[in-house]
Amino acid sequence: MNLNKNGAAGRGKALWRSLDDLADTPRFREFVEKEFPNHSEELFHSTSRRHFLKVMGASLALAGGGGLSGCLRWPGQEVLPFTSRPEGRIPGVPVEYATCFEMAESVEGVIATSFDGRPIRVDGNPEHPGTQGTASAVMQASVLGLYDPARSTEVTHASKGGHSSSDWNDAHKQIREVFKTQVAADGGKGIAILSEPSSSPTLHRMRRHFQRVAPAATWYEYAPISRDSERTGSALAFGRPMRPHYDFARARVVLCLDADPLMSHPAALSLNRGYAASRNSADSDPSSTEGPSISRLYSIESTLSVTGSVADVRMPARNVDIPLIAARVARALVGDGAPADVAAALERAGDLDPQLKSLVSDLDAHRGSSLVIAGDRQPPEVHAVAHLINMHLGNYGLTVKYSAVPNPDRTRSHSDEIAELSTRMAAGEVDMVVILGGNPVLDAPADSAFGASLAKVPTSVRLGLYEDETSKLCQWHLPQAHYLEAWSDGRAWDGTISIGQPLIEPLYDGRTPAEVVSLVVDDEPSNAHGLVRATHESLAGKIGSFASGEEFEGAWRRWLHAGFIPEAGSTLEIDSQVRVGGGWGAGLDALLSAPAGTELVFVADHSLDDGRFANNGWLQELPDPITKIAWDNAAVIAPSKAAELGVEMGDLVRLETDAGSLEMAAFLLPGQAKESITVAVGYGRKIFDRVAGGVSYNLAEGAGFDVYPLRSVEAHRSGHAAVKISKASGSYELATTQDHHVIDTLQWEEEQRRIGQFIRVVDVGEHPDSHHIEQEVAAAGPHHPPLKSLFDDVKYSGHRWAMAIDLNVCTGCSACVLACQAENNIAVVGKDEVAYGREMHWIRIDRYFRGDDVDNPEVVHQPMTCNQCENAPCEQVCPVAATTHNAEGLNDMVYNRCIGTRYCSNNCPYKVRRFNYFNNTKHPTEQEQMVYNPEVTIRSRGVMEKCTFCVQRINKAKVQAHNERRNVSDGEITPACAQTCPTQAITFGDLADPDSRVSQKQSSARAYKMLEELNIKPRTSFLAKLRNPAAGEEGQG
Amino acid sequence: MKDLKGFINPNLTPGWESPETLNTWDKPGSRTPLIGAGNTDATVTEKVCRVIEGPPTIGWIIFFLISASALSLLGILVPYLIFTGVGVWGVNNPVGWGYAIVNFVFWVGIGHAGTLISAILFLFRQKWRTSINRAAEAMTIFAVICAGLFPGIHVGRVWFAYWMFPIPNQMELWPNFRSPLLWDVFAVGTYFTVSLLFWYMGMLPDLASVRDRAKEKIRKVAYSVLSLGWTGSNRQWHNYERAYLLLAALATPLVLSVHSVVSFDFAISQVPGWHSTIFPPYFVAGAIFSGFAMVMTLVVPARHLFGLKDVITMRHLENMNKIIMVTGMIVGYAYLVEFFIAWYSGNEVEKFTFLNRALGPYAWAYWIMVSCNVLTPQIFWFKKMRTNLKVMFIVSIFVNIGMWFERFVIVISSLANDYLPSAWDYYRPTIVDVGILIGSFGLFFTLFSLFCRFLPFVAMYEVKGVIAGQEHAERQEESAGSSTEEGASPATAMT
Repeated sequence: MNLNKNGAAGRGKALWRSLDDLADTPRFREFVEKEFPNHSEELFHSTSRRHFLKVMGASLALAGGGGLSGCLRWPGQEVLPFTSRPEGRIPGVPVEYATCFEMAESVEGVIATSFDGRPIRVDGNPEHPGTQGTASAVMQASVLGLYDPARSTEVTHASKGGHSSSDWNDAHKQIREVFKTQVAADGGKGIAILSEPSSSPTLHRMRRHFQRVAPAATWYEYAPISRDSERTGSALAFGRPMRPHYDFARARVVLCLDADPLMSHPAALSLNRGYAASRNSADSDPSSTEGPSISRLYSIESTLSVTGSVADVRMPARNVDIPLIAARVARALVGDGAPADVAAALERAGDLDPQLKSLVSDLDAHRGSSLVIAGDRQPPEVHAVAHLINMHLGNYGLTVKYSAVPNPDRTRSHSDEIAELSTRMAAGEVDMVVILGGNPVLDAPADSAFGASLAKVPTSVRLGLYEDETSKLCQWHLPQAHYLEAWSDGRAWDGTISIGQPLIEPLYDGRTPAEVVSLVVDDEPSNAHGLVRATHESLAGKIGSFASGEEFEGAWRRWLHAGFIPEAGSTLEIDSQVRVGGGWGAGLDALLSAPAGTELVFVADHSLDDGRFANNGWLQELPDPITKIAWDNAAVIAPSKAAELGVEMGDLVRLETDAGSLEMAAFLLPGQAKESITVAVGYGRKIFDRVAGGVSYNLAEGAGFDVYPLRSVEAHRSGHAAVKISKASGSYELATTQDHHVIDTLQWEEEQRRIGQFIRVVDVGEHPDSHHIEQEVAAAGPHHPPLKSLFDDVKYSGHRWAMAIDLNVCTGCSACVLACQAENNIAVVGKDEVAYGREMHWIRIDRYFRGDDVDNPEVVHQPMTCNQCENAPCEQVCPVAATTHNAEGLNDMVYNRCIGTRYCSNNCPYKVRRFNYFNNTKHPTEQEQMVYNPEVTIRSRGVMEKCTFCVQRINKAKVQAHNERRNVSDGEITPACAQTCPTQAITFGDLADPDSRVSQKQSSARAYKMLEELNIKPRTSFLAKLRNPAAGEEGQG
Repeated sequence: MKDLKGFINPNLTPGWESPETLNTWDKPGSRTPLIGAGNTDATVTEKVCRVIEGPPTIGWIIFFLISASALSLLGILVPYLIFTGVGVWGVNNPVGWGYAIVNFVFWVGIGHAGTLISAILFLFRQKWRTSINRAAEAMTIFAVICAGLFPGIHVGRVWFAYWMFPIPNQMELWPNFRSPLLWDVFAVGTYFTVSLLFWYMGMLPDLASVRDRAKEKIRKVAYSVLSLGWTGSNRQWHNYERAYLLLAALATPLVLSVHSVVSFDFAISQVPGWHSTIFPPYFVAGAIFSGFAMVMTLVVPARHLFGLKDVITMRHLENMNKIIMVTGMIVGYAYLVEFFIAWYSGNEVEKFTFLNRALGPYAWAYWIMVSCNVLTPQIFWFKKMRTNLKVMFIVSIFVNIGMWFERFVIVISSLANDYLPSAWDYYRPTIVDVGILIGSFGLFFTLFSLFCRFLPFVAMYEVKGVIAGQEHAERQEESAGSSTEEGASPATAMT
């Protein structure tokens, strides 16, 4: 066409819609006539009024959209619309998928919520037998890891002067080449694979496949936080490794020997449920003929654990002293009933300490309903003693069951495996090592010198989420797929097989460990989907009749939908015929004479685990449930020990073990055993990470101290090491969310007085009397004059949302804090800001120590969030009415209206309002933006924010109910905290419905309102904590 | 005026009195002159106008430069604050209000003396107010400007601070009339407006005097405009004095209301340590206390620098010192009553709050406050100290410090340890906090030094009225003295 000719022609068309229009081609005329049959005339004769208005309208729109577009903040991006919407997909409506999250050789079934293709939340899978809808903090925070900008994004290969980028094809070609050569030469004698312990049937299958192809090669397994003791202990007792399964719900008396089943256990979520059931049967226990009852929890441990913090009776003891205590208890209970050599060792243990007498008689009185649990950091013999006691008390089959372990072939411990691999690498016996996940250069025992040995291996391949310490020393770094972008599978602790599906294409082309094994072993590497599916297709035959074909396809889809294989049940066979054998008496005997001196105990961090989550801002900022330290670890020491050393909170202390020495900050923790020092691993990463390395958060000194250099192979095995501690010069600021400064006697006494009112605790016997409880709870409150208000009470005609928080089952685990953070887009502010007292968490867990015994105080936890006062003090003082009450009694916060006077926060007696002192979400990267929940506003600088009872969930449920012409039913709305709480301590609902769970709880004998005397009419009730101290101890504390 | 020695009862004076302190003594039966001997209408005009007509002195230039540098600190830090966020301050979660509110209350308090002196003392016909009321009112205006700065910049989103004003808007949203912060807006706004009007109106005749003496064109025009066509006619004087009396009557309740309302910011809330009915009178007394101290701080050097020693005489200063001592004791009494009530009410939380103030982490601030506000003014029981310029200057500085700390103690120690021990924290100010405090002093002193240079420092026409009254009294006394030995009329004791 000739534009010039037609354009310049007499008609002089000034406005045109397309080049065709301008050229006025016949095709265009035809098109217009077809498109607008009634208006084609007008369109070609530009003078009509209608046309004029149209053009004007369009010009305005263009001026607005185009002319001012320089002011728009929308990033330029390519948007590809669906030409046709896939069936069932509604844009803007979140979709949930079942998948699974693996940690500590066990998986948890989770539900991941995807919003327009990007995962934004991870919750427990309500149908999965393990999680039943609850989730730990770590599980929920895992979604943030997916979007971590520090994740490795490409395959890299070592060349001169560092790593340069490469790709999967090259990696496959070259690694495979080496592998083939090695296998051809000597069956792969020089090949080693180092993996993390995994419960994945697919990885197990690939391991067998690998070993078939390279029969001489070795597959090692290592985890810095190992559960080998339990495995070896059961092997000592029963002759073969067994996995104990505890049932807290049936246990009336529980003894934890340095065990933390409620927090640091692969099955912690289901154990929490059982624990809650055993405590809450204090209200009503329909199953019991004896009426309401409550369990009694004993804990003997070196440092205050989450389980220890809720124990009715807790005794601090050094880790190394616990074998003797266990043996004495066993001697009193079992005596000659033990195998001969064990009985002899027990005999030498000596007489029971007086303070253990009531424990022993308690256990004795509860045969069949008691339970003894030994912890991971106890030697195998203590586990064996625990099994012995359980068997003897007839608990076997009732409160504890034993099953086979999923991988009975592994005979060596993780400590041995890593030591052997290091030795072999150092000796030059390893020509090729493939490290699947983990981070051994950081976390391998210091005396194994893993890093130095690794550098000697000619071909080293590393699959990891980050290019971290280990990757730096390897020839190849391969990016690992995050579990939310990968096909995976695994066994839950109870043996339920779970299948994980990706919610998103791998962001950085990462692959799974199983894929990498295939890449090494196979000429044509398989993809994860194929691998996982093939595993279950082959397993399916064993389960049911889905051998192949379409039948399997149907089953596979059902399993994916459920997230696990329901018909398979627990795939671990419960062994009903175990007998405790002897042969470990001598081992036990050797443990009975514990060396004197101070011990250093290495524990997994509650947030970072072994350090794998060091780059997760949510977890770094999550305060430790016990110490309340965020962003750091510390040498936890007893106040009495600190006094001896002249050390104060935050002072640097020097720790020397056989493996190395380190100066780190001291944290004085009441309840810590005097000659025991506890350090959490996983901090102080030297690697340049955006969160942990402190690039964006201005951490002058990095996040914490790396204690791995203090840990020898022996310490890895036993969980502790002998240590010399001395005061070093200088101090370090620990950012805590509570107890920001050392409080004086005056404040301490006042705190004690107030705790009694705020957190009402009633000491009850095994069969609590609700009348007595009600009296005690009422008596614990302050005396106050009749409450009169200046204002008329608001009358509510509709819903009255409220919460009940049961302090009796809250363990302080902090999963709710993280749930809230993920749901409500709560900003991470960094260590400095936390130290300033500017953390943003909408819900926090207040942890208080009660009583005068600083060596063994009572601990109470109190989740604290907005109480949604009906006569809210915050609302009255806001000059611009930015916080107001809604018709359902919620205290709403209007971010748009807030000018940030902070008066509301000052006037809030619970101090649950959070202020944005800076623009906390200033420049989120493209990935970081993806994790935001689109249903919750991102708050700007200078506005106040606080708990809304997850108002977005309330409204969503209301809209849905309205559309379906029905009322919102009880339990339909669950705020994030209540949803995730492992003990279901938080109940939410409508007070207008007298039958709702929250109404019932609020009318419980244990219910009370906190600070009611201020006449603020809080909507939240707390339910008093019940303690069941040992006989003779009632009324103490 | 005759020899002052005649006014002194030798049995009552200790013998250390100097010529300067002589007019602080009263002779029964006669009225001690307020203004130095030899002052006439002409000398007063000359002395006051000379300050603004002559070239600036070196002392003034140095003072101005120091003040302006401090002000420039404010000019740097406030934009930094606004662009970065209030996190640059030390405020944190339990302590939502920090230096900004402390400074606000401090400056509002300072802003009390001026209107008190000019309005209340006017209504009570206290003639001694005339020499100091102009400076005190100017100080009030500038202090309220400093105070007004803080509520504006302390909010998180400064650009929406105007939402606190009841401006009709498209959102149809009004401020929350239950909030004491809104009452503050009205109270401080009204007080500032009335004080400004009162000050300006009171200056009209003097501005006209300056205008009439002006020799340069610009000066003439400027002061002509400022003096609003004052001619000094009988009719103008008549209307003027009526209006002044009315404004004084209007301003008087404001003196009491503004700090009462400011105290509601605290008293209305339920923070232990804030929630107290004693706050309004306690705050007003404290405000007068600090206001007089600040007047003292300014006037003592100013009368020396500007050669106004016989216009602002020792008697004026001594009277102010007496007020400082009395209000200081009221404040001290309030401190005691707070403790008593905390114990007597049986409210455990309040009891702790006060014990914690005196013995807890902020005990240092509390004891600075008590020693500066309660102990140091006690030195004024001694006349020798009360009439000693150095002593009164130092005491006035101590009182300023003490009153700043009073607000610090109230605002911060109450918030830092309120109900939930888990939320307790310790407030640490940042360098920006301190910088803005210094900057606010810069603003205050810059404005004050400009005032000294360009506006009459002393209310000339009012002082002239006092001189006239003084001469009249002297003449009367002379005639009475010739007839009897004793004074003709009993002297009215002046405080």
